[in-house]
Amino acid sequence: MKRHALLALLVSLLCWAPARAQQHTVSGTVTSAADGTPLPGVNVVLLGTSTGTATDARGDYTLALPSSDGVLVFSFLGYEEQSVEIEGRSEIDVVMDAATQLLDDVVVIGYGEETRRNLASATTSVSAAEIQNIPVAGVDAALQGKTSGVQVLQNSGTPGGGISVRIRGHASVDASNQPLYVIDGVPMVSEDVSQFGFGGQDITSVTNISPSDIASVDILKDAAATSIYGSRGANGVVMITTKRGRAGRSQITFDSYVGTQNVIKELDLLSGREYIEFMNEAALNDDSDDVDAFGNPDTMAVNTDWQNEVFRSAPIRSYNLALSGGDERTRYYLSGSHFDQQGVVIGSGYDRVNARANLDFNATDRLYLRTSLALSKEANQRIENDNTIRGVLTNAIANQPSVPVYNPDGTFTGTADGLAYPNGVAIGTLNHAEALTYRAVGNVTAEYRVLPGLRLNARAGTDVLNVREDEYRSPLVGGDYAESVGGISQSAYNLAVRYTAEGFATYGTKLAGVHDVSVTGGTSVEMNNSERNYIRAVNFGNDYFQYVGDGAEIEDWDGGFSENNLISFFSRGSYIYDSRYILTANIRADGSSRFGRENRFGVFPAVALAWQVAEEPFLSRYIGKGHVASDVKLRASYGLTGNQEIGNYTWRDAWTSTAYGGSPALWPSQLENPGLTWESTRQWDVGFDLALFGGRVSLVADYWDKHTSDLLYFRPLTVTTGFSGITSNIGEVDNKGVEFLLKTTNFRPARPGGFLWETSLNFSHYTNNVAELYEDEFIATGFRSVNRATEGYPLGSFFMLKFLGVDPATGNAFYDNFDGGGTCLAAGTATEAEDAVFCDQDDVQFVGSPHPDFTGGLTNTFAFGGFDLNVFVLFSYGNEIFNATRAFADDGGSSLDNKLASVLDRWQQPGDVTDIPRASLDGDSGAGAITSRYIEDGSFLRLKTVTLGYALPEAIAARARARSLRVYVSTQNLVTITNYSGLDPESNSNGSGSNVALGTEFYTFPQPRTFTVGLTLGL
Amino acid sequence: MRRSLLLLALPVLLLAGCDSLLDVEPPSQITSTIAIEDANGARNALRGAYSALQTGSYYGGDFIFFGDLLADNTTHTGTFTSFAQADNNTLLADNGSVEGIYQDLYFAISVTNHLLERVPGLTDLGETEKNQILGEAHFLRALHYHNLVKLWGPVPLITSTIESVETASQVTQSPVDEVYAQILSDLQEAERLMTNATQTKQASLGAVKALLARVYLYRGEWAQAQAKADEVLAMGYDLADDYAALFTPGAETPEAIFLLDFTIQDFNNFGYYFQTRREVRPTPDLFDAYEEIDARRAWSIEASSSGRLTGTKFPTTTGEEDFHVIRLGEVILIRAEALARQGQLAEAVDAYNRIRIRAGLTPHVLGEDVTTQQDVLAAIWNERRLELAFEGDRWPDLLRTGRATEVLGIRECQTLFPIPESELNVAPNMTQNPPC
Repeated sequence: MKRHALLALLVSLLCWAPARAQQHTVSGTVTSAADGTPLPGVNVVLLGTSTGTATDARGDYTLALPSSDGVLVFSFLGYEEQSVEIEGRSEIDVVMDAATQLLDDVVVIGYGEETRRNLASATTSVSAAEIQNIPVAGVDAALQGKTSGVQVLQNSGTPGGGISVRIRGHASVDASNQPLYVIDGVPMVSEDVSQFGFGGQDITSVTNISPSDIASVDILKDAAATSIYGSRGANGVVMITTKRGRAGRSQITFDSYVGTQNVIKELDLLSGREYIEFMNEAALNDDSDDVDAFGNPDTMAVNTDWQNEVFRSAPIRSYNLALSGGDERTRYYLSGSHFDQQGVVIGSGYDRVNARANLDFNATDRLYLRTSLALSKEANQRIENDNTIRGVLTNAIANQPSVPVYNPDGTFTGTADGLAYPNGVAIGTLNHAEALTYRAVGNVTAEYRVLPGLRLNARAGTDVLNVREDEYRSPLVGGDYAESVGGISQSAYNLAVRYTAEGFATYGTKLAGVHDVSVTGGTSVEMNNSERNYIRAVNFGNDYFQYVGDGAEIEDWDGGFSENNLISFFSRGSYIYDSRYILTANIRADGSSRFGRENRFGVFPAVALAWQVAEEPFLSRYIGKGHVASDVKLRASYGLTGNQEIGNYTWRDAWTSTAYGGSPALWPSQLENPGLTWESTRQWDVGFDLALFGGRVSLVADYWDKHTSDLLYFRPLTVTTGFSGITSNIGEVDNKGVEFLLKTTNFRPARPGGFLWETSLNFSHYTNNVAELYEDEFIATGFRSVNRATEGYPLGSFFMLKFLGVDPATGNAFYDNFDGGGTCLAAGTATEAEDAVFCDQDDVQFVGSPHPDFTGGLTNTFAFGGFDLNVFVLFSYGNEIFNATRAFADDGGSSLDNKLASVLDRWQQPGDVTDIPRASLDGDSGAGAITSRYIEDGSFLRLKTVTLGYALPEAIAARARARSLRVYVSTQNLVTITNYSGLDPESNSNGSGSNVALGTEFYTFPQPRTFTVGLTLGL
Repeated sequence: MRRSLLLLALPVLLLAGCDSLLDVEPPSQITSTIAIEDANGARNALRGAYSALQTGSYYGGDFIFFGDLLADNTTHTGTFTSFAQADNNTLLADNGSVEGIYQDLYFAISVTNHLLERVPGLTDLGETEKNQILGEAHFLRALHYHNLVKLWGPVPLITSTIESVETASQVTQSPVDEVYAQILSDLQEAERLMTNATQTKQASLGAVKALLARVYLYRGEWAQAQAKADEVLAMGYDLADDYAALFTPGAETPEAIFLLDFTIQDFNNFGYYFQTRREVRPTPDLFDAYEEIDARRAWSIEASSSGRLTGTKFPTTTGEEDFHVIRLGEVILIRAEALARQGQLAEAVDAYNRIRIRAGLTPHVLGEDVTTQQDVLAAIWNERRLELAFEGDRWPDLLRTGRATEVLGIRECQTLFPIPESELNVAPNMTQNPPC
């Protein structure tokens, strides 16, 4: 066997040798299938060589070749690539079809591939070109706005930070809502496994893949597509396929961009003097004797712009080198890349180094082996963020402008110098926190062709993820806990490992010329475990000693092991009659160690039907090639999927360890629920794929309806039991929506280098409704518990007092007396009115939803000559944001925090008509109550990306011995149109793990505006 | 070829033992059935019952903070809304700290119920140790119920472990008298069972008697309160010479009756909230209530040059000083009050003068500094405020003596904690304490 392979390798190497002197000339004409006109500028290349030419103005070409065999490849933008065997011919004419990319793409589905034409389920694909060279760390961020049904929420601008990805709504209350990520066929670890919290923004395990290694991303949306992943399919599946080598001359691609990032806006806050005036007024309003409580504004010389002190212009750069090639037997794709992004807030950054080796080896005619191996190292420089009193940006916004950054001796100011919170500049400068992620993701697949049509596959994969974290908090940050204990250092280590082994067989055949049958069946085992430990020490000699071992005393530690296993059986059958009727059915049975013995196995079936209308003979007069509607496919599917993303031991009765006075102790921690099982989602979907005008317009549209029941829900119990709840299968959530993806070629060049204009528009709309929870109990969570999961409302709806205005007579805010009618005052409001009504809990009402009415993306691509221009607009409409920053920065003065400049319009004397309540140090104007006053319209339209590129003509590039060379300039977040008053409408202060606490912005790290220049060089 | 076939066989081989793959045994946890199955388990669970007192909602934080914040000893200057409500005496039913205190109290009760159910059946425990463990569990349960009843009034009385999730939701409040009856029966049982009279970091006979004295005082049974206080005093406890030593980590004092063993790992929030977070501060009113020379003020409150007050009673921001649940200082004041209430004014003044002298103050003279019974009581109450400042006693003490509305200028409807909203939602037979 080995000898055969070697021989093959040798033979193929010999074939490369340019020793043959034979000459053969091929000529011909290339025409368009649509109208028969000749196509100029079509590339004609001998496969695996650089020998090639292009058609002339009459569509003719002539090409001298070294031999009379081989394959000619014809390619032209906007048309389907064609490969033609030469077979000794000297004249080859080619008719080219306009690309109906949407219909003929190969889509990666679970345990197999299928052409889009033969697919009956709702899946959507994003090509490599759409996600490359975007200056973001992860593929999840790059997918934002690129296709329909996928809501990518950039939680913050934190470099390398977690991203919320929601495919078709939000189903779960307590289990995860993130999709399953499958890379090259193997489910990857995608959760945040770091142990240190830094406020709301988490990190993610999805960032480790270099976007430039990705060949395509296919997103499985409906049950017919996702049920093959059974208990993990309910949130959708993101199938990532990495690049592989192709037979032919080896190709070297070098990609790089460098750029700079800057903040888009700063909050307009009070100056030092304005702050003193405001706070003096707040004190005076409460107590008329309290004059100049905060000092004389006239002598206030300090005016610190804290935001300016922590924001910076930050570089970003990316380098990627890839080498690919091979022959019929052995092919390779090797790459290495480096991505480095500093954050626009001091102290933050993200750096990644990747290497990948993807090898394909046809061992025999029947046995095909492939391996995918990726190694990466990521370094996240982390800073506390969002809801914290130790944040860099948080404290920069919160601290008073009347205190300088530095003392006269050059040291940082602290709370002892009058700051309300520790100095954000000091935190960003003196504290250090790094999360290092080392990762190896790889798999080996063997495919054996037993008989024609029958293939056996075996795959073994592993994902080894090691996160090592170190954090040092300096005692020089005045007012931080670290100051009082002489500095803190903590170190954590987590090794998470996943092993996957699967085997499946696929049989496909065509019977009697019209019955296409294919069946896949297999089994898989997945084992996950993680081992973690953590230690924290305090009291350090000085800032030169920052590692945990240098501390004088251990303050805290932790350590443990956790595992879960999954065994599965799956099958898919597909029957296509005469290319017209497509029936596919999936089923998967999963057994999970996460569930009680009584209910470990779940079965997840799905079925899909599609009708390829254009293939129908009796409609051929109206639809099909040559007609306006060249392709029409109607689809419908129905199926069941599950969610098992809860803790590993949640169903068990448990007592856990604790300690008393340094001695071991035990206490009860969990009630048993042996019947605990999957959360299940049934989904139906109807949709159509439409191609018009020879594929110049394509439209894929779907209506879907998801009903999730048996929620994995932490059902609250009376705490008199000693337990606050028990994880049960209770509750129902409905999501339904419509989505479409429209692609048009608005302008097609008549000749090479002519003007091309393509548009891609995607639109997604969903409604979310919590249909049932336990006994009318609602969940209130998020900052100040304003987000609710409650029956009859969307998940995470905002429930607050409803702000109605400011009383011109008193300057007090007044609110809607929901249960009693009329108005009411917030608790604690100072009033002389005898009949004053105070708001109570019954006045808390629905005041907004964090869910958008619709989201989408619009991409326009223009090409002319060697130039290309890509303009991508992202939009979200109808979602509300809880601007929690205002809970302190616009609270009327009840906190010492600096205030937004909008308070300059506050009520100051009877008769003032305004919607900003009067200032009050005691908070007795009702301004600081957490109410709908802080709810804002979060709709936005953002010019997300504009890229202008220029590709050198190939002839010129060739002179520099290059295959291709393209240079470009690009900008991110150039323009944002929004009514939202905070730093960034794309915010989620609770991170990607939050299911109910949605739509809150709370000192959130904003996304930067980025300018990059880059080049792509092909050799 | 053979090798590749082997690869194909791999998943099949793995699946051969598939069902056992799903039987993952969780590390770091055991089931309730084996938690208390032997002497060692009983000792571990008993320590768990003490650990349950150390949480951030209970004796490690909020329960104690609220005892001063709702009254006039401290004021809120931080960012916690739940603390702001406490400071303003406008506790809402969804107050997170109130929820936390309520929950942690019942959690602590549940651990004692487990012990009281399981320990009697253990065969490898000696009779003395078994009785001591049961006595401590009874003591702790009484302590928890007293803490509940003084803040909430009528509360559910749970004396067994959960039977079923469904029946548990039928829980309802018991009248205050019934709760007190349970407390007294638990304490009397503890007094009967316990033999250890010396330990301080777990409950001893002295702790039982001291708590009995406290409970009798709350019930207005003065003679019994005095009797129990006398019994405690007869056990050899003595005041610490230095008030500061009571709150200094590592310092042992003869005054300790029952204190919680906090360490840098198992910490309280006092120093951190008072000195670093500055979530709460002493009120000027409290500062002024001390005499200039009072050693307790010097130790407990630091006044900056600008007049800003910082609570320094608990010196470690790491929260590692032990916390006295009950100490001799309080027992002496209980005795003084019981005496005063029974008209034995001279004895009462003598009693509380011990506390004044320790603080570096001149002793009161009956007829000069205080004359009437009301004077003596007022002096004792003032002494309680100063002696036990920041130890969570002020608010329940004002309620006990019926002075809360007068001293704090609040209404009667503001004197009971609300039953947490979340509890009412899952226990429909519960009724909310009357709101304003």
